[in-house]
Amino acid sequence: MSDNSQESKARNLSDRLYRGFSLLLLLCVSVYGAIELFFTINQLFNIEERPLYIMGSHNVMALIFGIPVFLLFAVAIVLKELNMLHENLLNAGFKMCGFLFIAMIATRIIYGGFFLDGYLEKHGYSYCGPMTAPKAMAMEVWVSDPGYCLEASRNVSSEVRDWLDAQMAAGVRPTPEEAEQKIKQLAQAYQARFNRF
Amino acid sequence: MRPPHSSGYANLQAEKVKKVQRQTQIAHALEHHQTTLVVMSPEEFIEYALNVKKLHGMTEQASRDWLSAVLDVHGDLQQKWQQHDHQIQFISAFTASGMDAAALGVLARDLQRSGNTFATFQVRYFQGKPHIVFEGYPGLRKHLTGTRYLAANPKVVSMGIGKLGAANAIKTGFVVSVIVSVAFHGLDQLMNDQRTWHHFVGGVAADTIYAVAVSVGSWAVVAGVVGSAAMMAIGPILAVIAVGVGLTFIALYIDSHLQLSKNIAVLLEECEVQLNASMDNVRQVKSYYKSDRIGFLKKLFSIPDIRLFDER
Repeated sequence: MSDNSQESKARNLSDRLYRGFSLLLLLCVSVYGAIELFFTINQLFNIEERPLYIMGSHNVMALIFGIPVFLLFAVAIVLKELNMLHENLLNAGFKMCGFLFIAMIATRIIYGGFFLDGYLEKHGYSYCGPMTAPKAMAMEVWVSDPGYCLEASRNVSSEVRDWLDAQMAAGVRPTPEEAEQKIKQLAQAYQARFNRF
Repeated sequence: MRPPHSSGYANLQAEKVKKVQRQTQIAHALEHHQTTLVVMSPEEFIEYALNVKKLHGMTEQASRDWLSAVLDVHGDLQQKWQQHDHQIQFISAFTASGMDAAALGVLARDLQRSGNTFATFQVRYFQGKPHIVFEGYPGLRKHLTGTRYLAANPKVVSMGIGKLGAANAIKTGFVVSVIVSVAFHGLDQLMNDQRTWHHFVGGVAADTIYAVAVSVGSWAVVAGVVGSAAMMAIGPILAVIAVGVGLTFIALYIDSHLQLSKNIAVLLEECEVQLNASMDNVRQVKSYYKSDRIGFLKKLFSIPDIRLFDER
């Protein structure tokens, strides 16, 4: 009998730890998503400061509806812990989750497909494929001068961005010729490393 | 002496015939699968290809035109890949969620036929085993035509119903993500001349790490909520899709800062360089040992070079 009660206590404890981990994960993910969203919106609002390049994403705005999905699950976990998660409440949560998911996809289509490119082009920025990492959801890069976007920067995009950041911090706007020279130099350094194999 | 028409003799003869037939089959198989391996430099290969075309009746000019056309197609393909590689990976990252969404669509349509898309199910125990009992009219449904199913029924699990269905959807999603990642990075290496095996291994390793993280996270969240006695039938699979897509978004945003695949590739490059340097040292030691064994052993065991008598 005492063995059974000890076993059920241990199970309760592991369930609670499990739920605690899930809750922590959901909260961390929500906070991180909110920060990412804040920086993206902030960058778009401060576009008049004319940074040398803009790192954004066609997908990030979908998090406006993605974060409430995480929070919904966090609330469900808390309610379950308090034994207050009834069938009707759970089903209402699932329905809300479905609608938020549809809204998330719709936002991605409207913002990423129709708004972002036009907005940035209107402010003189052009999309730079070679500086965008070949990864799903990778932050995409738009440059203020098409001269900053060279095919040679494909394998050294982070180094090029670091250099542009340093130039911006020093208050210098490099000319396309200077950018070309620097990008070629960085690409040659990469090529030298690549040629070792 | 064995009598010539006994059954034992007949068996022996049959075995002999079978043995001969098997040997003939093996000989044929070996003959068909014989392959000649020729190692060529790129220049030799191009020359070989041009010669083959000439043997087929092409003129010198025509064979050169054919080669430049082939190379142009390859160049175009490379350019198109480089233009659209991140869009391809965006699609590939959500292949697993797309498959789950397809399963959700089939389930929702089936439930709609029986009266309500948001129909619930209940977990009831019959003969000590958990069964899933659906709300609505089973006769109107196309796939779930039974009144009740065992919770571990493959049809129910494959449609993502219940806790087992959710676990199955997450597991399948993980496997699909890894397969798609290997295919993507393999193609990326073919299409981009500057990609090496380091990028391939780094990319697949990073994708696998993120797939594990997303799968574990999705399971932790979904299992924390799903699992009560009664709930909406489409709930678990919907939860898997919504949480899975959300966590994939977050994981990939984190990666755009961490650049895990790139860092793993750089680490592998450095390891290879260090390994090559170590191998060079080993080779030097080996050649020193071969050229002067006594000197090598003296150096190895720090034996002083004592000369008792002057050799002069």
